[in-house]
Amino acid sequence: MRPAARLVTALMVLASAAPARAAGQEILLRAMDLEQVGAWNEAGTLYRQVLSEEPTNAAALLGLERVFVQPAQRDTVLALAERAIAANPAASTAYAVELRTLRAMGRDSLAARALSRWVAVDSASPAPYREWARLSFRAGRVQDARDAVLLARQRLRDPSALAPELAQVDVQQGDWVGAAGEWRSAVGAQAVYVDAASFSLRPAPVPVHDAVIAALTASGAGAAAGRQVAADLLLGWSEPGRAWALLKDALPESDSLRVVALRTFAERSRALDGPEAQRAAGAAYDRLAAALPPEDAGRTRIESAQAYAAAGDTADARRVLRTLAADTSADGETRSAAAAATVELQVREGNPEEAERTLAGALERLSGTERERLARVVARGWLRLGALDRAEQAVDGDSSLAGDEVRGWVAMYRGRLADARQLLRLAGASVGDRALAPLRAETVALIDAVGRDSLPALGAALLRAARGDSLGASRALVAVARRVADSAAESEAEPALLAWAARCAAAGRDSSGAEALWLEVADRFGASNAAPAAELALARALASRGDVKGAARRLEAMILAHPESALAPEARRELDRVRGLVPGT
Amino acid sequence: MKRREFLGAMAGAGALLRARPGAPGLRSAPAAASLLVPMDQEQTNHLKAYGLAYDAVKRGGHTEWLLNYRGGSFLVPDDGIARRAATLAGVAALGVSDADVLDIRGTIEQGNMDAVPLEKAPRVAIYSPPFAPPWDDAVTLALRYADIPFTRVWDSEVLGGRLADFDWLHLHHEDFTGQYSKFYLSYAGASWLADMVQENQAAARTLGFVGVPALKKAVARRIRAFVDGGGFLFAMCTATETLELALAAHDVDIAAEFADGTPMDPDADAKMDWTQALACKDAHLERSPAIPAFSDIDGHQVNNPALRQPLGAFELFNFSAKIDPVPTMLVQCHRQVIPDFYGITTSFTRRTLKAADIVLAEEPGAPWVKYIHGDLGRGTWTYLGGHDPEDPQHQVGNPPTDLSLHPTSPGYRLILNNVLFPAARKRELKT
Repeated sequence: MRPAARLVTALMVLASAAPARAAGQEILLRAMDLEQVGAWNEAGTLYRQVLSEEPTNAAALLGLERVFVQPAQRDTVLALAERAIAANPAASTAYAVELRTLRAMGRDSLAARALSRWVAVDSASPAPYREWARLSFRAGRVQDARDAVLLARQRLRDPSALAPELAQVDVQQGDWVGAAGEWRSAVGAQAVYVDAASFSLRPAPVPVHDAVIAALTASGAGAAAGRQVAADLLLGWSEPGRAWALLKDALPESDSLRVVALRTFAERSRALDGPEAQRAAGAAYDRLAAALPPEDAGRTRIESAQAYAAAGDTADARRVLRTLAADTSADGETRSAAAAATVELQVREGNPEEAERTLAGALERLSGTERERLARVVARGWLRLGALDRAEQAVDGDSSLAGDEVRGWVAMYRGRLADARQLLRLAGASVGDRALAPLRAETVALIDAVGRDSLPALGAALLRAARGDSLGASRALVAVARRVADSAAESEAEPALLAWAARCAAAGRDSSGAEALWLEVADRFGASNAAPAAELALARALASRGDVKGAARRLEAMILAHPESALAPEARRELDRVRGLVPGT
Repeated sequence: MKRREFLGAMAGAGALLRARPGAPGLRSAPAAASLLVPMDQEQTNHLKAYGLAYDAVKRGGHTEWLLNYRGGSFLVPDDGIARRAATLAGVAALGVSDADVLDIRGTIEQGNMDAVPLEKAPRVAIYSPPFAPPWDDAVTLALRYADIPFTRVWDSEVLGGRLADFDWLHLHHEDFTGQYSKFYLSYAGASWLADMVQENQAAARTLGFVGVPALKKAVARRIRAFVDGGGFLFAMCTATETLELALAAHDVDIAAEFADGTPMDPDADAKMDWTQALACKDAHLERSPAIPAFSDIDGHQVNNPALRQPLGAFELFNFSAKIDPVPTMLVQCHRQVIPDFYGITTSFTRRTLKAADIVLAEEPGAPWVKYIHGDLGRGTWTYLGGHDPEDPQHQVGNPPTDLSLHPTSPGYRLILNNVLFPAARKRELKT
């Protein structure tokens, strides 16, 4: 038994046994200690000792039930439960123990009689029916569980009695909408069921999602709790926008619960991908900030602004940051963070000039490390605009490897391949912007394939790609490839450049252009390092437009020609998929 | 090929060898005399290796199963096609010369190993309903992944005599007591269950039976006759236990009222004729229609909370390859101990096994075993408890297992051992 359970049980003992004999309590506590360390027999002996003095002691009876789990010993518990009932016919705990024991022993007819006795002495309580329903449910007798609930409702004249139990039965039987209706009823009566309802309904299949939400958002008493469940489900089902629309008007009335609900929603939504999720997170953080004391709201507003910015909702991000700027009570750390968020927002908006001014105005409040980090953010903003000099100036004086990474890109876009190779390699996988690590590695590999120290046309082509002109970059790369093809020594250069051109074409949604380039790499340069990836990409393109045979042919050719390639295992799995040898194809 | 023909004289043929250690095949080296497909830890895709061997047998090349040699390796002709197939499938294979093969035979001769020629690719049938149940079938997944062809059959084909067209029959999740696995207890109202009931009842009507339990008993008897006549039966999960019950209950009503309109015969236990069953005896039926279990054949009782047992691990037995080639073939694996996995029937209690049953795998110390085998007439049967070796608690509605993520699965290997062993040529057993 866990310490918390022991404490609760002990408190129950102390409350129920007053004025209990101190010696009896001491024995009971010793029994619990023994149970906790797994000394079942010794614990059982002590529980029985307590029951010999106090036959109706519920804690001892429950303790004995726990330790006598072996079938051969259940009879003993049963006898003691019956003795407790004889001593106090209203002892509901003893009835529950008797019922559970008989069901565990497979004595169904006796269990049914015990249930009848319990119902007779406690006719207004749902407890006997609940126990029966739960036992049936756990035994896999789902229909019995449903019958117990329906009987309870009829006899107690309460159409919503045992709603949580019936909801679980509905879920088990695949009636998700029925379950949602029951959970709506349950949370309407007791909001404590909100989490259980959400957990229970989350696996509902997609086709019934809307019907489940409709059932949960039905009007009536406790409608807000139903909407909270619906919002939680929608968030889990990757519909954060709808989720927020529901939750914002159904927040708990209690201040502390409202703060918890908003924080939980905001953090979960922020962790999801996509602008809709980020926008919902931004709104939730914004609302949370309003619910917090001013001294605690600053950091939350920054989270809000960052989420809005990630969603591309720069107007709201700016609004939140303005509120923060006007907050004279914000401490220095919060204002520094606000300045940083503003810089990032301005860069994201494509305005590194303004970001540079903001940064200059906040320098005194920022640590040296943060200043350098934000300067690199500004530099990347300049890179995206093609302003290589400004980018270089932004990291002037930054001697870190992350600064070298920015200088590496500047060198690359200027076509100084040797310098770029050295600087980007130094950055490695863990320095600078980690999201760019794969691109850095691929760029270094491209430079190696080209095998020149300087090639301004290549830098210009890649700069076009960095600035979002994928199709222009593709055309430029093809041109560079044709030019380097004149040199016979550069056998890896042309296919590597054409493969990059294909990627750029695909990124620019020119699928036929991309396919043509991959085809050229695969067929003309079949022995090159670029060929396996080109074959794989080509096969995937063919499969995506339904040419399964063509895709299989390409994959087979790739595997047979490059069995040692790092891409061969991936190609084999792709081949299994297109041939329907694994599920989901 | 209905008769098992296990190789005989061949064992003396020579000296076996020790293959060159090291990298798997798939290399562009010139063709050797043979390809050795190792099945030990060096193999990169054990499951597809079975497909490679099956295909080699089907093409008629001299293929051998080297029992207990490097995990139960295969020796296939290096005819270019096999080499290509190995490369495509990611199966490790090694070109070996005739001298290497002689060396391998020497090694085999000196140890508990044997070389069994595989002569004819078995024709495989899977007993499976025409509707799509919401659970996967491990054998279908394995055969499809290994690219071994099979044909689906169901009640009408079985009763229509189509089993004669096949060497190997697989049963998986079917309930031969005709009670739909007692799914109504948990899934009443589910559309797939309604479809299952409707399809089965329609089949019973069409084929002239009074109800589904009667239909399934007739199917069970035909399956028994298939084995008796020389067929190979492999069953998993519920099909094992319920086939036994259906055979033993040929004149007894063991189906609950919801299945055939009449309750189970109150004396059913006493009336069971276990001489008709393949593997089990003296089992006790689960009498309550409200408990989702069939009998005490299954040791784990996964759906009966009061009796449910936790999963452990099972251990494969070692057999003498030269004396007992069949059980040896069935336990070829690169792992001796395998994590257990649930099914509605997970295991077989020792008490209910017939004396002649051969236990292939057990959980040491437990009152149940996992994997059993035996003969009936001219055929054999093999039972493996559990549903999906790589999804220990497979639930209704769960997505099927993607075997490309489990290419070296030891549990799935046991299934594929069964598919291939009917290809072995018979020889007289030495004992």
